[in-house]
Amino acid sequence: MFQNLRHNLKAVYARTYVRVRSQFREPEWVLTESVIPLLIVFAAATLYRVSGSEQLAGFAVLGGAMMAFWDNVLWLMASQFYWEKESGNLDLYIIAPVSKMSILLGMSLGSIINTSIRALLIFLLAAFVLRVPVNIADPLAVFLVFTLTLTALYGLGMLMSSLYMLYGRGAYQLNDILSEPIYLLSGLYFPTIGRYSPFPAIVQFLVSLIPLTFGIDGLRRTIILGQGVEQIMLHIYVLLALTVALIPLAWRVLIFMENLGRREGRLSLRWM
Amino acid sequence: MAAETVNLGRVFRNRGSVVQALENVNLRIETGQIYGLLGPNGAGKTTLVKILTTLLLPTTGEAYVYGYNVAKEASKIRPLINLVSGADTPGYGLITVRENLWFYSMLYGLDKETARERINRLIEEVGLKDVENELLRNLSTGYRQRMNLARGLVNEPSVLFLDEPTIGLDAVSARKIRKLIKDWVKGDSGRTVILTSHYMAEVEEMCARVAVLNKGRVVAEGTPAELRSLVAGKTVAVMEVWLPTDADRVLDMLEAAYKTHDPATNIYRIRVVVNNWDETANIVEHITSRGGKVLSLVKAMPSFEDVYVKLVGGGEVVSEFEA
Repeated sequence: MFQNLRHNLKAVYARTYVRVRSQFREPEWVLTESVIPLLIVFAAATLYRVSGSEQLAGFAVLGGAMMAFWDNVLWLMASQFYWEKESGNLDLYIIAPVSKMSILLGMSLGSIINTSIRALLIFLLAAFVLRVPVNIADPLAVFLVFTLTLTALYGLGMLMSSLYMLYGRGAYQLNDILSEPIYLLSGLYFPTIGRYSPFPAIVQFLVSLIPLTFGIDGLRRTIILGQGVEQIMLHIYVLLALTVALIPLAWRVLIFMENLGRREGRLSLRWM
Repeated sequence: MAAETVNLGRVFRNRGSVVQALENVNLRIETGQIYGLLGPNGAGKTTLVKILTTLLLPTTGEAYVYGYNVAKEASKIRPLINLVSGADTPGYGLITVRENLWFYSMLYGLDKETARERINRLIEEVGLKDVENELLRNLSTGYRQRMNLARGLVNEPSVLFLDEPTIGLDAVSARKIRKLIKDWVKGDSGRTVILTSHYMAEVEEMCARVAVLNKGRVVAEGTPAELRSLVAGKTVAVMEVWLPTDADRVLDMLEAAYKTHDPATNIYRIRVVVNNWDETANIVEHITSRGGKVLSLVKAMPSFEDVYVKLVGGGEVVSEFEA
C-alpha cells in the first residue's frame, strides 16, 4: 500500500518536473502567452475606466490573469492526451504499472506552477500600468479562494482530459467552442454572478457550475474589495464541493475511458 | 512461457466497416528467445502486440503473458513488459535524453540510486553518451530510436515488445539496434523479445522462431530453418523483365515477388520459385505472350524471402537491411 503510494507520487513528481522544466527551457513562452491576455485586460479595463467604473477596471485585471488558467486547462490539460497519443506516449502511460491519475495529477501540478507565473505576471503588469487599487484585508481568504479555484479548475481539466482521451483532432474544435463562451460566462470580462451580473438568476446558477466563476468572483472580493473569509464562505463551499465532485469523477471517467478505448481500439490505434 | 494466445481474434468496427484484424491465432512463445512476427502491412502484427501489451482487448479467444490473462490481469502484466515502437517518437522534446529516461524510470517506481545506475548503464550500452545532455528534439532519428530502446529497457522487462524497431533507420543505425537487442537477450536467460517486422532478413537473422501472419491468420510457424524447408528442393528464377501494361496481373499469375521496379522503364527484377528449372520456359512464354520481354534469367537458391513470398503471395518485398 505504502510502496504503491510512493510509486505513484514518484510518477506525479516526474510528470510535474517534465512540464515545469520544459517551460523554463523556453521562458519566452511566459512572455508571449502573457501578451494577448494583457491586451484584452487593457482594453476591458480602459473601457470600464472611461465609463467611470474604477472597481470594474480592477475586476477586468483579475479576470485577465485568470484567463491564463482557462487557456491552460483547455490546451495543456484537456487536449494533452491527444498529443500524447500522437507521439506514442499515451501507449506507454497505459502500459506503465502506475495509476493514470498520477500522470494527470502531475500534468496539473506542472500546469499550475507554470500558469501561476504567467497569471502573476499579467496581474502585476496590468495592475501596475493601469494603477488598479489592490485591497487585500485577509490574505488567508485570498489563499483559500485561489487554491480551491485551482483544485476545482484542474479537477475539471482532468475530467476533460479523460473525456478527450479517445478523440483525435475533434478535440481542437471542442476547445475552440469552449474557449470564448467560457471567457464570457465565467466572468473573465465582467462579473457574471452577484449584484454586478447582467444575467438572470437561472443563468447565474448555471454559470456558477464552472469553477472559474466563483473563483474569479471570490478573488475580486478578496483582492479588490478587501473582503475576508466570513464574506466568502459561499465561494469556499461551492469551490470545495466542485473539487470534491470533479476529481473523483475524473478518476472514474479515466478508468471508464481506458477500458472503452481498449475494447474499441481507439486508445492507441491512430486510424480509428 | 513468455506469452500464449488461444484462438485469439480481434475485429475492428469503424463507421460501418468491419475489419477482421486477427482470426484464430494460436501461438506459444517460450522465454529466453527473440520471437519474430513477420507479415506484410495489415497482417495483424501490431494488433497482436497491442493485445499482448494490454493496450487492446481481444474480441474472441484469450491471450496470456507470463500466465496472466491480458483482459483480466493487465495490472500484473504491466510491470513485466515494455514496448518500443519504431513508428513512434515518445518522450518530451524540451528535456534531455537523460531526463527523459529518468522520467520513464519514475513511471516504474525505480528508486533514485537504481534509476541513476541503470540510466548510466543504458546510456553507455545503447550509445547515447554523446547526446545524453542534448534536448530530445535536437536528436537525429537514429539517436531517437536508440533513446526509445533505452527507454524500453529502463524497467528491465521480462518481455520486451519491439514493433518494427528499425523502421526508417539507415543501415548502420539499424544494424546497431539489432546488435543491441541480440546482446540484451543474451544477457539473461529470462529475457524474451517479441519482434514484429516486415524485413525478412532482420527476422531471419535475429529470431529463434517466427510466426508468419497474413490477413490476420498465422500461415506458418517455426524456426527460420524449418520455414526455409518449405522451399527445399526448389529453385528460384531471378529475372529482369520488361512489362508493357497490366504488370500486376502478370506478376500475380506468376506469384512473383519483385524487389525493384523502375517506373521510367517499366523494368522489374522478379523472383519466381519453381519446382524444377524446366518450368522457367513456361514463365518466359507467359511473359512474352503478354507482350513482355525477358531481359535476363539467372538460377538461384531459395532464400527466406522466397518462403515468405510463398506464404503471403507475391508483391513488393523489402528484403534487405537497406530500408
